[in-house]
Amino acid sequence: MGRFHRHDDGTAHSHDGTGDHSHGPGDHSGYQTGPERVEVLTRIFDENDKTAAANRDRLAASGVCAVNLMSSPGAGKTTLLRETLRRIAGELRIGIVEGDIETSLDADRLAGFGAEIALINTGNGFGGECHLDAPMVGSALPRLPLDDLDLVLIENVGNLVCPAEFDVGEHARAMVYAITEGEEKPLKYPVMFRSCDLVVVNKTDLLPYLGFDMDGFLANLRAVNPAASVLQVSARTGDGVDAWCDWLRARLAGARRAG
Amino acid sequence: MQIGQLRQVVPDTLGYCWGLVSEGTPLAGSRIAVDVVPARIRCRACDGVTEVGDLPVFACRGCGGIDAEVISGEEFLITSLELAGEPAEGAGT
Repeated sequence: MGRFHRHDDGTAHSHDGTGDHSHGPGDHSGYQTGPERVEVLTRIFDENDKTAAANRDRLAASGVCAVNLMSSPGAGKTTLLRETLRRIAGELRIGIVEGDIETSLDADRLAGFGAEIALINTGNGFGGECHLDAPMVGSALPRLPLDDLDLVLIENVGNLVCPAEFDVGEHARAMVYAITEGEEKPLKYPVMFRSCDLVVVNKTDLLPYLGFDMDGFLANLRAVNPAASVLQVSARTGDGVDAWCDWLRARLAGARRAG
Repeated sequence: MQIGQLRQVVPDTLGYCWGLVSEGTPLAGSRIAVDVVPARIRCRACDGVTEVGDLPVFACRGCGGIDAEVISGEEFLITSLELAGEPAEGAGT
């Protein structure tokens, strides 16, 4: 790459100083105050991704599989987690990283179901981060007894935009999508839907009341993420929750094989 | 900077916020120039390249295949800095 420089007449170009050229280095009379272009290549997410890799190493060292659970607000992440704990907390040792802008309400709802819980409030007064990033999750991991756990479930902040951008060190990503959200959501939030290994289609107990077009939704999902697994679930009635638990067991087995 | 179409970053908003956070710092008055990189996928079946366009459909326009890799559009990079002002003493010309 040649060196970029600007001349007094306003022209600018790059050259490496060895080619045929009509001016020598002494011609750069205005150089001291002119702009200089420095070629760099810096990934904005480098710092986050390095911390995410460190989180993943820390989890792997303890034989723990982590799943990043994302959704819009109110799609049913916490209810699904509660039903998950009811079913497998006796079989697998589970830690939960609970991300919320404010309050410990979700953490409180999950207390008493046999999991270790580390709460991250992203807020500072009202308002706060709309997602978890790798440093936040990294700060929560020491509050979990990782060596005594099998699975860490990271409940992200309810938001279909920013959480998709941040690797937090998870081994797999799942999202909870509620059929009350409308069939077109994969097309409106393609980055989120594309980032997931699994989409849990929740609130299926409401199917008789909503006129929800499941085939249309699945076609939209396939358009943006052909590879995603799909499970239809009602966390409220428990329908399909066992299949979700099987998916978690398979992720744990996969992470341990890889680790 | 290069910002890919698949990054949820709004260039105008980024530039506006940069103006706010750089105010009162040595970088006051600096600005961000953004190249938006369109999303493109390459089909693993026929090797065809498809520009994704405005509708987020990640299927090959040639053969309809859905097994495709994203080859551009996920950039979020600083590619160069244009510096003005006095270079450091002894930095040379």
